[in-house]
Amino acid sequence: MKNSKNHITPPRLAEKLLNWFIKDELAEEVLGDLDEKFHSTLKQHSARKAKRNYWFQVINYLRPFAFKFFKNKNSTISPMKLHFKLAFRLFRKNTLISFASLTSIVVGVFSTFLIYLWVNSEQTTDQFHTNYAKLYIPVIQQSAVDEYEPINTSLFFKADYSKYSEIEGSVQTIYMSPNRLKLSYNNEIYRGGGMITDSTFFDYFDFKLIDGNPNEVLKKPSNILLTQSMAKRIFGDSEPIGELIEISQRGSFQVAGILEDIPSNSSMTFDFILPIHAQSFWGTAGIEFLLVNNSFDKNAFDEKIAGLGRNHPQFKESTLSTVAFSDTYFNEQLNTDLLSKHGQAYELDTMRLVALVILLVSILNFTNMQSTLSFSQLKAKSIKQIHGAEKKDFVFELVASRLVYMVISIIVTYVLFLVIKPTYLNFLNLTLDMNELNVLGLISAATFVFIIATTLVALLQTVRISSVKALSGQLNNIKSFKAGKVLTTVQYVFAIALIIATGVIFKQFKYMQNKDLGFDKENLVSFGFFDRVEYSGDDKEFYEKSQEQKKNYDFVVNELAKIPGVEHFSQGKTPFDNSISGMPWKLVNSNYEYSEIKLLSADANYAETVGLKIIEGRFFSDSLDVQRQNKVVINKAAMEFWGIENLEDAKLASSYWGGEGDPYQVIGVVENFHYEHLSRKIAPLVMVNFENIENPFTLKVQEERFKATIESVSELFQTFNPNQKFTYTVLEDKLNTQYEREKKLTQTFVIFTLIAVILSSIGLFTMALYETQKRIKEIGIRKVVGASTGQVIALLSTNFMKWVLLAFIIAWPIAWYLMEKWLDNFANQTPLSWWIFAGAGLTASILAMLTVIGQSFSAASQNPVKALRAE
Amino acid sequence: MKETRLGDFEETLLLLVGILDKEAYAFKIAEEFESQTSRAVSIGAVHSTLNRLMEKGFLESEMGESTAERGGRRKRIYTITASGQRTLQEARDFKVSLWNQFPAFAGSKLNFNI
Repeated sequence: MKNSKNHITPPRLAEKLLNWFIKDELAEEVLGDLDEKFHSTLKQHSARKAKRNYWFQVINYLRPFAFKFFKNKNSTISPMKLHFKLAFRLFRKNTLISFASLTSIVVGVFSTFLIYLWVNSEQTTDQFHTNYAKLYIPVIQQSAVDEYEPINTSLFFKADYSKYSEIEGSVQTIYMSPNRLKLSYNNEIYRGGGMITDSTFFDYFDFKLIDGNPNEVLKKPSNILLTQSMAKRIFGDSEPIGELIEISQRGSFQVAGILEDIPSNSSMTFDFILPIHAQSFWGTAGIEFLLVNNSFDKNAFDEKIAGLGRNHPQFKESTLSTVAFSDTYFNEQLNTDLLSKHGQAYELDTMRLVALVILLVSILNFTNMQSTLSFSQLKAKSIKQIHGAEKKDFVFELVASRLVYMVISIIVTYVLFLVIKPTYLNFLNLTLDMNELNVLGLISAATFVFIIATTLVALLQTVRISSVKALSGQLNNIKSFKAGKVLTTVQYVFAIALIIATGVIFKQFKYMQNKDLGFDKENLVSFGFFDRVEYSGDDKEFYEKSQEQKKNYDFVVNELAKIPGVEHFSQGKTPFDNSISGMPWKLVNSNYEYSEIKLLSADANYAETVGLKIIEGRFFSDSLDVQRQNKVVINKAAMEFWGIENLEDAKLASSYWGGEGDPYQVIGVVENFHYEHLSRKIAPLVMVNFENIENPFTLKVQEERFKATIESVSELFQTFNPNQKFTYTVLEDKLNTQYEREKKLTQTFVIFTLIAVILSSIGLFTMALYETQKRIKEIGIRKVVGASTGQVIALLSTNFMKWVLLAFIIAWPIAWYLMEKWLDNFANQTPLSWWIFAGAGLTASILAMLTVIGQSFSAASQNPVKALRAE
Repeated sequence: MKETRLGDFEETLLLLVGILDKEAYAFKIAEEFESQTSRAVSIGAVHSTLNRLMEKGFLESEMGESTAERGGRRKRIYTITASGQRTLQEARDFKVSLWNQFPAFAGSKLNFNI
């Protein structure tokens, strides 16, 4: 029995492991002890147990005292400790380069991180919904020429999705913009976006409830859910649950739940939710979402439902299909109030490119500066080598120095982030769903990757230099210096390209802001005055109320005309209204088909109030026209669209309004004006004269009486609406907010560009510093022989300017190409002007000059004796 | 500064080194610890503590002879230093003085024969 066990030896792998990590001086005794232990276990237990025990013993030797790689307390100083000490010393001694290197890492990582936050938020829009990829929106195309529009199929066509096995269910949503629902509590009036939806809403969308059961809260028709900030707005700090809120014309609702605020990466936003079954009809149809399962095939399903709506008299030629919810933010931007927040893929690409450039520039910069530093250490290194330092020691030295940089920059970056965070998030309107630890982790990981990248480059560079060359002073012949110049040039290519890009983006933005809009945007104020008359089913009461309102309306119109500061006023949508919609129109007696043309309703005073230029015919006028007549005014784009030459023969017809049997006479043409966002081209427009008491008023106010006029209007408003606050919008403000997004993105872009340029300059600066230091003797000799300071500066500067010039030549075509592509995203583009390119070149070269000449000057003006004497 | 306090485990090991005398090396000490206390301990743990005791100056060591069971490897024999002995004594005296101050045991009933 015993003999049979004699051949059993301890597990080889465990022995190897032990040999690998244990200190050489301990190996003998420890292996001996473990062998003895193994054999004594073997005597009493099975071989398996003995082996297991051996492993256990080996693992238990994983202690600092036995570890080869751990510093030994007994020896005076361990190699690793020495490396760190040297790294710190080097860091402190070369303050300039250390600081510049550190700036490179911190700025590189920090900028990329900030951009990542924004890009990530945009890219993950709506993805917090578990069903994100499984939601589809039914859309209708009324006829072949029409655009897709979302439609509520349950409401219009009584669609029954239970017969399709690929559909799990559907949910209806109606979005009510803040001007449509009036909430009141304690006689104060509040407005906000309302989401009217089914009780199953939370099965489809993952908006979080702070208070209330998601499966129950929307079942009771008299419940209302508020977002946290809406609740705070209405109730302040007091408890909102159970309170009653009145909604005008809709009844009273009890607060049954509180929602977390809608995150910034949600394409739908609202302030409260109401159950859809609280009313039989809400006045608008809203849109529907279908939840599909894995067997769903979009094309097959679209075919199945294509003809679903054709039984409906209004939709005889319609085609139904679906649009994926996941596509609506970037690709298929639907024309609906609920999903009106859209992203631009090109913006993401632009920002990603900027991040990449900054990262590359900062990595190059860091490597460049560190190799400059290590060249200045070459002699020290050679001496170490002669004293027996191995290659591995230099690797450790490098690692130690990089670790020092890494730790410091992680701390600096993190603190910087904590400082900047509130401003940055607020500026771009982001909500951050990351905790501090995640942020720290991400920053650390990014810094680590950064350091690894730079270390790899550095390892490739430094190892090849022979100590003899360094000691005998033949440094000038080393190729690596050329590499440094190439890296700096590449940095400059980026910097110049970025400056050009900034110039173009700025110019495009200014162009959009200052472009002649075709109307006078100054001092236009709009406000709602009358609400729609409530209809409770009693015709007589409704008629009386309408008469009453008409009387009030006439009075208000009279009064408005009397206010001295009001130059003109009109009722109609002010330009830049997002909700201008289209209708199919065609020119009567022509070969044109019906096509979707935008429709604007305006009264006779509209042209004067807004300041439109009439180029042919006339505008509507009170003396010649009565409202709702078959007369239209079109814009120049529409005239060109149909090729109209003679106004008298021009009649338009709409398939919605009686078709060609009931044509509309064109009575005038106005000059093109931007009635929509400037990113869109001015499309053909048809204007009709429809008066509607509840339409908002638009006033043209005299600038010098602006305040007094608003006060008078406000008083007038209060006499009719004693409980409401008078609110108005100034068109110029509205214009500015429309450009807010572009403006902020441009500003962000400019900031990051500036960062890249500064980084590149730092790189050039350190290069220049080192180069001039290296040539200090040469400069000394030149001066002794009779060169002037100016000549020396010229000599040193041209050396660098050569590279900067090369960078221009490379950067120009790249930037030209990229900016051409970028401008294609805009309907109204500014031309690429040569002076932006020249300006970028000039800026970059001035910057380079400044950094280089400073260095050259201090080198050239030194006393040559000093330089020559020192050895 | 060198730490000179004695922990419980350290004290036990120090005593075991004394008991085992010429046979005091890591494996034997661990075996002896297990048989005396019937508590399991890894050789690594013992070795690490012995190492610490050496750093504190309570133990010294030298390489001993080798045996076949150890695959011909030598063992490290530990011996207590004078300072180690003094510390052990102090530790014992301290505990006895504590015991004597314990009212239930002080005086009559218990006699430790010291």
